Amino acid sequence: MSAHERERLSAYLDRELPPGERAVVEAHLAACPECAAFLAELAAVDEAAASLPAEAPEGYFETFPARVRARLQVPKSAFPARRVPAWTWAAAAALLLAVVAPLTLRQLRTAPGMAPSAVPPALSPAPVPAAVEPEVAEKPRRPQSPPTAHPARAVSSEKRGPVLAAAPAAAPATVSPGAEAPLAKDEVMAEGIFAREPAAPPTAGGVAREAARDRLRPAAAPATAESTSPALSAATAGAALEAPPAPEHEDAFRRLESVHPRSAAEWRRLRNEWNAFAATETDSVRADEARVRAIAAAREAWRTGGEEDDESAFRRAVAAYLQREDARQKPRVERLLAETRRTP
Amino acid sequence: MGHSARPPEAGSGPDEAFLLARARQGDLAAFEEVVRRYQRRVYGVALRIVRAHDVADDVAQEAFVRAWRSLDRFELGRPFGPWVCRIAANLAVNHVRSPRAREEGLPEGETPSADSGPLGAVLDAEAKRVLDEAVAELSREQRAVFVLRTVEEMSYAEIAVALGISPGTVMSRLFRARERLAKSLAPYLGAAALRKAGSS
Repeated sequence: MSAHERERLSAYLDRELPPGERAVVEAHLAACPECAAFLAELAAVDEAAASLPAEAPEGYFETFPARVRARLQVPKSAFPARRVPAWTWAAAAALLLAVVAPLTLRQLRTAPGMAPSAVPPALSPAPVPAAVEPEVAEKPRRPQSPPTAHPARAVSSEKRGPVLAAAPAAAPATVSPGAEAPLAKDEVMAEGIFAREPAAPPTAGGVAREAARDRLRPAAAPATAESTSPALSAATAGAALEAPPAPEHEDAFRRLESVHPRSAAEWRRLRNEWNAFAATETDSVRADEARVRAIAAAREAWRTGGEEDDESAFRRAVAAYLQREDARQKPRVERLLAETRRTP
Repeated sequence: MGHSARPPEAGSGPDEAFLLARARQGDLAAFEEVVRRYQRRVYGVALRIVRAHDVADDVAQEAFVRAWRSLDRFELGRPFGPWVCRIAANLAVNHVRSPRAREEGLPEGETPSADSGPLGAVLDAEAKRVLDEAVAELSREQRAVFVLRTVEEMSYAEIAVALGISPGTVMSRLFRARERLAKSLAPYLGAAALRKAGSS
């Protein structure tokens, strides 16, 4: 029995063979005990594998919906605007150059007295920011449609199927840096271009984009390493009273989520930042999540460095959390504690 | 071929369409209820592919977040479960949070036996351990195809679309996965396979 024939048996098992091929396989199976036995083995494997448990730790599903909700509970304006990919700017620039330059040159030739700046209004750079502004200003919570057609992206989406095609370009940073969809690269590229913009000569489009970026900037800076200082925390809290706190908090939450410390000191810093975040967070679900993450970071600091002080800090944090009346994830924290007993 | 039974509450129905319509209008409570219904299934798909709770947790959350943001494009009336599971499977295949998270398996003692299935009497704990290890040794790509077929019961075409590969690749990955698992389970499969052959 060749590998190809065995592969056909696998497809036959799934009823994925075309009728003609299926009839051939059935005729073969009737006369070949070896293949019949192999087919039965494949079916048994499926059955056995499907019966393997895929259970979560105790209490996990009790808090899962609330944690998903906490991630979604962000005002419309909090979601990052769908950034225009780098290629858009390049294409717009090339288009302008291709259209405006010949026309300008022709006008210079036909009307020598006309200043080069007197470009017909319809051809001025204004349409570029105009196309960008609605996206930036609107900041759709759920983008209505995928980005406009870009050959590479269209192919990419098609290749990846509706899943990634459905994944919006403006999806906030995922929990995992490694899981970034290809679209995220465009966002990074767009950031890069934004970062280089000041060096470019100011244009109408550039000014409009700068204004749009100003609108995007949160009123208060997202929590940083320094945000553990009480003064800054107080300042952030103060700013939160003046403006809706969620956008910068969401940004800060995602930034902290994306941190992957490599040393005990970095874990300690992350622990402090999560604690600072929890102290200023007004959303109780998210604050609770931050407290748990602070505990997890404390545990990692201890596991990474083996310092007694870190162990004490971790145990104190666990005890304090478990005594809170508003603690939503006690089973999860108890599990963190239990795991340390297994892996000292 | 038997498959794990789908929880009755996870099926598509008018209630689900109602909830999704409300969710589409921004009703977070309605979507939270949808999450509650499908969380085990989505987490199960993720866990079977990534084999680590922390990563599966990330994947499951992200799958629902992306589903929420794409609800406008979801056709109400169609079953939500397969859709969100496809999102989760795709994320799981492409998702690597950290090398340690990827390598860490489920802690011992936290995978209590659940559905014993038709082979429960035949596959004792040792056989399940062997099978579990064999599944873990499959590549993530093979595991994804295998899980979507055997647990989610998706067609080759659906799997191909979900993972962005061709149906031919689905077929070959699935076969290689089954072949490897069958080889690992050979000592335990004899009686079961014979019984299977006799009943079919």
